Amino acid sequence: MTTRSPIVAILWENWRLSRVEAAQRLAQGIVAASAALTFFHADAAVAFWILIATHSFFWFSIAKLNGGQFFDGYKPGFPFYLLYSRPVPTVTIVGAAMLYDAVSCTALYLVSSAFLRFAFGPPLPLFSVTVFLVAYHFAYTGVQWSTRNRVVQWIGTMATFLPFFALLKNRVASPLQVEFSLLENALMVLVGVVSFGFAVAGVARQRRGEARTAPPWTVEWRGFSDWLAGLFRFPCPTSSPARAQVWFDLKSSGLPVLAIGLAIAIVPPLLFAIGIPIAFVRPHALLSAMVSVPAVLILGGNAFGIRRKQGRTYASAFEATQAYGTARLAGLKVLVRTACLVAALIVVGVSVWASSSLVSAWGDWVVNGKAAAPGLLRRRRAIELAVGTMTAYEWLALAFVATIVVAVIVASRAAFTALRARYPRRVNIAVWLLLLHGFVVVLCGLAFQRGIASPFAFYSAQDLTNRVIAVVGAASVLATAYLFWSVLAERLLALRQACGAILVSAVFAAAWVTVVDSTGVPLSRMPATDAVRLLMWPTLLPLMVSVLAPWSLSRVRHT
Amino acid sequence: MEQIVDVNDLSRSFGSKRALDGVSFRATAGQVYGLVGANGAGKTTLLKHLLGLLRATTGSVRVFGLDPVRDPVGVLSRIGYLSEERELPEWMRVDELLDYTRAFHPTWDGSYARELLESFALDPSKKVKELSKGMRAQAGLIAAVAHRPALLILDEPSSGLDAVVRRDILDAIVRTVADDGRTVIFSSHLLDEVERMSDHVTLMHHGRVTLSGALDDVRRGYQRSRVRFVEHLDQPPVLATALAMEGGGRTWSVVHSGSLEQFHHSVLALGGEVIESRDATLEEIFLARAGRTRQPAEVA
Amino acid sequence: MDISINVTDGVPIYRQIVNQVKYLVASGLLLPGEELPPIRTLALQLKVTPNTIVKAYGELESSGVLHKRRGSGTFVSEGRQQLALRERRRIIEQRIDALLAEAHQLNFTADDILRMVRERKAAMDPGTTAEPAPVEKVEK
Repeated sequence: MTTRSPIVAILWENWRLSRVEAAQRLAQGIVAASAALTFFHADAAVAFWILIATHSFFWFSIAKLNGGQFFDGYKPGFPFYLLYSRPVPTVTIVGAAMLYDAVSCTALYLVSSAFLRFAFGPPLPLFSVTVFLVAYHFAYTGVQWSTRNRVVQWIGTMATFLPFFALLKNRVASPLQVEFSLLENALMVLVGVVSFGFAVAGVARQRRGEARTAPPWTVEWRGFSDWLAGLFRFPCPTSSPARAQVWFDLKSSGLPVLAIGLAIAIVPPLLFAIGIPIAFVRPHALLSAMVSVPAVLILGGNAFGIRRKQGRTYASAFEATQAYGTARLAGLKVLVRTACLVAALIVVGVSVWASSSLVSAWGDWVVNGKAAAPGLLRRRRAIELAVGTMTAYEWLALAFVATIVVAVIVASRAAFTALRARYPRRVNIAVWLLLLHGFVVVLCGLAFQRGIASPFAFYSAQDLTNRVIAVVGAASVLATAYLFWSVLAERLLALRQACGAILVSAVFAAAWVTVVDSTGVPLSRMPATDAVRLLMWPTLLPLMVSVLAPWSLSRVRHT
Repeated sequence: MEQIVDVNDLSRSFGSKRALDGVSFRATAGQVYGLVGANGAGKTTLLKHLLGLLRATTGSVRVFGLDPVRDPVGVLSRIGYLSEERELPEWMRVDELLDYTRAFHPTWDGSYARELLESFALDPSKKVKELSKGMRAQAGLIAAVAHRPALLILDEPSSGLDAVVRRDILDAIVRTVADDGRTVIFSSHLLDEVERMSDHVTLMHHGRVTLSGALDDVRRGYQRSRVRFVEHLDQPPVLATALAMEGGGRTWSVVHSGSLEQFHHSVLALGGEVIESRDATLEEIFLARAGRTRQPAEVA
Repeated sequence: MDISINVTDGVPIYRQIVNQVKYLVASGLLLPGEELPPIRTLALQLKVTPNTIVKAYGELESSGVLHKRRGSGTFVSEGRQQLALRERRRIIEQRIDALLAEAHQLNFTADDILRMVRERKAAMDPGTTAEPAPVEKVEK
């Protein structure tokens, strides 16, 4: 390879690391925005926010170089620390990397919005947002890269995110139009330049080795951070392997989830309380209440503790070499994580409910010319009423259904992570196929809408989706049967455990029917196909997941 | 003698790279088995198959007569394992590590564990992430040997460790074999260690077993001789059965295997004589088989 | 027990142990009836596999140098003066072989060596008036 300028080399390196992610983001943004515009008949503002959301993050594939994990926003610090020993000035290194980040993300946004504008017509803003995006990226990466201090990273990210997006929100006009005044543009440019300066100074410090660093060789994902695991101290039981394993899973994954859930649960009451005197906070309080439950559900991933190190994913050899059966291991890990997740959900739910009662203290609150508080209180009372009229049996069924649903989510995410670790290429192909299918469906919908009806009249998007769902259903049934056979043949699951799984699924189906009934859906009077579809997935999913989880863990444990 | 490990014609590829190629390996009780080979020769891959971390795609692996993939509990409960990367959970304390491991092994000897903790001077309340590399190896070693496993598997146990910790590990190997005739399989780069500690040695190269047998038998098959020629030679002389040559000018050091007669004849034919001859050390055999010959040294 | 082993020698470890034990017995540093360290202890001391010690002790036992008393340990055999003589001869012969090989390398004949041995012996004995014979290094 011929020697070339270090700037070109750095830009090439950035490109090489982020190109797959760039393709993914481009596809994601366009597909999601198109779906919103066609299926949900959203207005252009929604598409705009989708695109902005997709393209405001820095490149995860570059941030990964530093270690850390997605939830934590990866470890702060300059990811290209390997360049420190090269004879290139810090300004060049940092400048090239920041420029690539800002320009590439902005370019992707421009391409996506131009495409959507051409395909669907809505006037998505193009160049008026350019300065905003570039400046925001400079500020964001500046904060991330200039320090190795986690606290500064979090505070700094908030400090850049809030003002920038508050400004953007204010400048989005109702028929979609974004206009920044000249002064605001100049201010954003200034912020960008200042961030660049901070970044250079910070990276220079790290380069000289003066930053308080974690040794960069720990470029691996260790699951939840160690201090979370150390929060709850209780001795390890030595009487039986099952108890010891439960202790291990509680400390390494279950209790951290609970702790994070508790932390999330504190936010809504706090914000609602602050909202009593300060009206500005109220919409954020509502947002926090709506977001907190899904936020906790995000924590249910990777129950098997798959690690990522230097690009390779593998199960921890420490756990894989303990004398414990694979199916039992999978079951325990899923159970512990589910239990802690359910506990966290209950805590968060109670906290949200309690804080929503504070709405009455908000008094006269006017949003868009109408009093908002009475509407919220009315909705709250309706929920109260609905819940109050449920019988004890229906309560039980609902609790059971909710728990099993959470367990299925945890188990399926764990299995997916395990499969992706073991068969990365096949899983990637499957995911891309799904995305492609989504894209094709959206295109069909678009064509249908635009009236290019004749060749596509036969396959309306709805029809196509229905057929695909039927195919997926049949494939799932076959896959479940295959997995059952495979798991029993390998002696992974004893016959007794397999029967147990079937029993639990049957009970779940019964409980599901009860819950659906209590919401007033007329099951007995529904056409057969609809009833089957309503019942099939709840029965099939727990069954499939209960064999998929041990099967996938076995594939990862015994590579 | 009980057949502890029986690996038969095992092959394994990772993508295009062939890590193991028709490897057969047997271990009987009460012996120490040393695995030697260059980096990437397949030692770790073979050991991982014994533990069930890798599934045998062709060939068979049996440990204690069981398949480690189908019956992980039956196999792993009688194995102590110290891995090269010393993968211990960072958040665990040393005492928690020992308690956790203890729960899985009913044969755990608490007094032995305590004795080892004291002799290593490990602080039980320290977290793994606060331990140095050597201390991690020590903690992992206690967890591996305290339940008196029937089979102790050590993957590069001395890599990157100082002499003190290395001595502890060697002691553990000795104790395991000396007490109740249990078995040890270890892989190492340090050939003098393998030479001292092994009863059987297996040499691997590019995924194949090139040499396997009792250490003394293996060494007897190779000789190292000093040869002196009448004339000064610029290039290493071509001698029958010679594998590697060192030296320069008139005096050469040759590692050769096979018939001594042939060797002596070819030396005489080139106008030289054998000054002395002895069994080759493992290091000499290893280097000779790796196919490297030293360039002739500058003549004084 | 004062034994050291050396891996770079090329001599099998068990053989080194056998030789050294025989030397210790022959030179009187190990007395008849004295107990030898148990296999485990010696293996830990020397950092070798116990099976090597087992082999060494086994060979020493079969050649009569040691004998195992059931349950008590391994002991040096009594009354083995004759064996000591044979062993002593063997040890010296090994040294002589090495000396001759070295001499040959340095271009000395066997006669030169004999002469030099006598000289060195005379120099070591105090009060003798043996004249050192002139030794010319005859370069051949």
